[in-house]
Amino acid sequence: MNAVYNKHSKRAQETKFLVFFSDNKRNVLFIVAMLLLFFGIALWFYNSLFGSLITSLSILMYLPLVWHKLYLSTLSHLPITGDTIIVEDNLSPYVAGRVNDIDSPFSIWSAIKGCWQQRFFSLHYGIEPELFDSLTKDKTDLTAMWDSAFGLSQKHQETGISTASLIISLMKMLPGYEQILADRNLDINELESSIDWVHHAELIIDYKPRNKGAGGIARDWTSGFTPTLNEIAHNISLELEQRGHLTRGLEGHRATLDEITSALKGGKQNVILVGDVGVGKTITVYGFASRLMLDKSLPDSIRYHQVFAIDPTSLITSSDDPNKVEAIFTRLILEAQKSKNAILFFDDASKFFSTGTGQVNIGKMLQSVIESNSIPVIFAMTPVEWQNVSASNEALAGALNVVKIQAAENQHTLRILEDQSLYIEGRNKVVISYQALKSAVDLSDRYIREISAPGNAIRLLENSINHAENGLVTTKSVQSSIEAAQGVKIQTASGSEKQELLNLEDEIHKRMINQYRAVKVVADALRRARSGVNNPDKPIGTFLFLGPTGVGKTELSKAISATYFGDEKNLVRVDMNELTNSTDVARLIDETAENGLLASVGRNPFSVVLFDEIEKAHPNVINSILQMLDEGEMRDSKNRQISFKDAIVIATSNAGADKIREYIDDGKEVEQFEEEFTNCLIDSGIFKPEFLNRFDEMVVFRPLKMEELVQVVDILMAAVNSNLSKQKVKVELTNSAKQWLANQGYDQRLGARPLRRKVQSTVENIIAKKILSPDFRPGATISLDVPDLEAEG
Amino acid sequence: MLIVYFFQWWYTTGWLLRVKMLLEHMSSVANFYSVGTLLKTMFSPWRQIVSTTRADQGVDAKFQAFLDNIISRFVGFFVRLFVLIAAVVFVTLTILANLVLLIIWPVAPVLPLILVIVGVT
Repeated sequence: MNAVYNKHSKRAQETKFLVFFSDNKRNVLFIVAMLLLFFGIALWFYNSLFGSLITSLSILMYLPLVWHKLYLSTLSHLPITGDTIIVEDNLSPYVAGRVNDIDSPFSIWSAIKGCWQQRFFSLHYGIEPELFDSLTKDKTDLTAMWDSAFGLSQKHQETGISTASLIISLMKMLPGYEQILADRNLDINELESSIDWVHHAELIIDYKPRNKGAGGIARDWTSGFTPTLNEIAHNISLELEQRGHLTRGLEGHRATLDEITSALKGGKQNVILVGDVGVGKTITVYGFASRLMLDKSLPDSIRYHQVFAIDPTSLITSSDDPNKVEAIFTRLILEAQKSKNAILFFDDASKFFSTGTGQVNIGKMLQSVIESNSIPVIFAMTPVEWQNVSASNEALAGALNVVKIQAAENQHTLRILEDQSLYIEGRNKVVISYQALKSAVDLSDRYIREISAPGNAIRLLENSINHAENGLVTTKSVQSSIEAAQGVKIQTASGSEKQELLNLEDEIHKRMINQYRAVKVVADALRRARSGVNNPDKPIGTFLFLGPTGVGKTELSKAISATYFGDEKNLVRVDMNELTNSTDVARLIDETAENGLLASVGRNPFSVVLFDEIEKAHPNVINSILQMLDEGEMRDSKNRQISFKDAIVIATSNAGADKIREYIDDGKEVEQFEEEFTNCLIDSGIFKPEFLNRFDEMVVFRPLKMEELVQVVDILMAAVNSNLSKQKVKVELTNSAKQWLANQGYDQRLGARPLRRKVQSTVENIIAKKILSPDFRPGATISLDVPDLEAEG
Repeated sequence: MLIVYFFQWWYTTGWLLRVKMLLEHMSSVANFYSVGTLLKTMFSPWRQIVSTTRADQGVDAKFQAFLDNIISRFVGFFVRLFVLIAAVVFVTLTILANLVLLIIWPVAPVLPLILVIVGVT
């Protein structure tokens, strides 16, 4: 494709004048022309010659203003008709008017630089104008650029070539443009899809509220008065007339709007919108109310009808007396019937059909309205609410036209955000980057489960405004917003946290003795997660801890919970020895059990999930966990997905504990027998290979040695002293006392587990008695030796 | 050349545009006064203020309801009639104003010259 530019053509000169005749110049000319007109008319009475000359001058000044207003300002791209692009015809008049030459990429850029589309790319995509300064000023063959621009214009159904298409085509001429985009977390496809966003922004900039007061002053004179509706309900149609009608942002709901229109035009004049919170049920009703005002093809039977939203809470609480509420509701219904132009919208409609004790029984009244088909009504409910209502009232379910609204796909949500972000920007005086929109879609999809798309993404984006930096909402703002709301860590580690992650092993070893390999593999997994190199579609880490009782498997799980999630309480423990029957799968996925696995993880996805003694669970139960280990999701008994993608999953097992002891007794280190031990577990049929393969790491814990138990005593004493700090008491043990406790608290079968009980029955008992004795003084340090412990123990 | 293009536009497309604007103004005034709706609903009751009777009610009640409805229709008719008259007046004024502009339009570019001649003489 080639391009030509004839600067002497009529259109070229008109566009030049259009650019020259800027807003400021026109304003000055208008003011001067007006002043001269008044001055000239006044002067006419004293001196007709000068009066006529000055008046003539003012008229001459006014003529180009008329030309601009009625003609020049309406110039737009002309379609490309041949195989050559005519710059002055096919480009934006504001760009064409600034073109001098078209022989180099830089000369084209010079015409674009400073226009609002260029600023749009700079602000929303981070593509600074300085990048284009490296474009060559030498005469260059621009065929490829024009080809690209033409291709984009065809793809995006443009008339002529838009400035956005031209900017992207110039971008492709920059050396290393792909790297430039990658540095901004973009690719060329995303940039090309931005053309639609720019067109959308153009529409919003040019948007003027239209059809205000559609139908004229006599529109409602054939309908009745609605004083009660005006007082109790919210007139959506009136709000739209005052605020401006919705004409965009409803692309995804077009089919739904058609369904509503078709249902309310005739037949059963009712619709129930069924969709999760956030899918856009209310906005659809607003879109429908706009359509009633603006769509001239609608029949008179529904055109100009007013949509009244009735809020269940405010209606039901409008009086303490249920009889009065019913009386108000009856008045609303009668008014709506009599007015002949009211459509009632019951949002959150399940509340109207509740039959619980003390509820106002509006449901029956509504049912009779539906069955008599006397007023057009729209209901909105979530699928679960609809399921409950339809199960309890089949007659009602059969009488309603069901219109389902699905959650938007991510790509569609992004398009909706592009639209919404422009309004959010206007309201909050901020700029929202495209990258922030992408983050809002991804993060809301992953972390905001209680609201469906696109509502969750819009809410996240609105909340991110509070984290804007210098008026710019970026990916970081969105991440900070979700981190603050959900208590998660999304941004890659920085500053002191980096150092903490690098020293994670030291942190864990403050409460774990030995088990260096176990601590290292876990620490490595957490570092991978925090640096963003792990697979986001799987749990943060999945580990199988193998080893005898009392060697620190559970303690390490707690340490991870405390170190990574900030609190030991973020540990969800499932005793697998309680799930030994095939029917126990139902118990595992029962979402109603308050402290059950799925309810706990659903409430707090940022948890360590500990499947204790996994080998004791029934194979069916283990199979139900496999998908979660692979995909990071489990389905509850109602088939709802629960995400484990932010959880660390740990399974523990004592299986083969004796074998481990044998290896250790033979003087082998864990690394030397780990593989052989795993094969042994598979061969003996305890675990299937496909189960073991699902874990990121299998870690064998070895039994603790006596000297390590003494270190455990130190950790336990540190905990005791921490508890005593409020009493201003400190306790110290002699070395021999520590050794005595280690000997007494160790059990070949139970490992170090009895040690804690021994500390409790000796040290803690002694301290308790001392604190209660009359001669106790705060600030004392109590030193204990073997005889003290022996006397107590 | 620009001045030639200006005059070309002024005496061709520009003038036609003024005719188009005249029609648009007429249409918007008619829409503002809902002329179509007024004509279609000329004899409809005013704001649905109507009386209804049950089948078991006597002739008196039915006659009373009939009278009420006739009155409602009369009220509706007179209100609509006055608004229609107002609409006709405003549409006429709009046409006149636009016709004046339409006549002045071709004279406007040469008006300075005329004014100067008038001033000199």
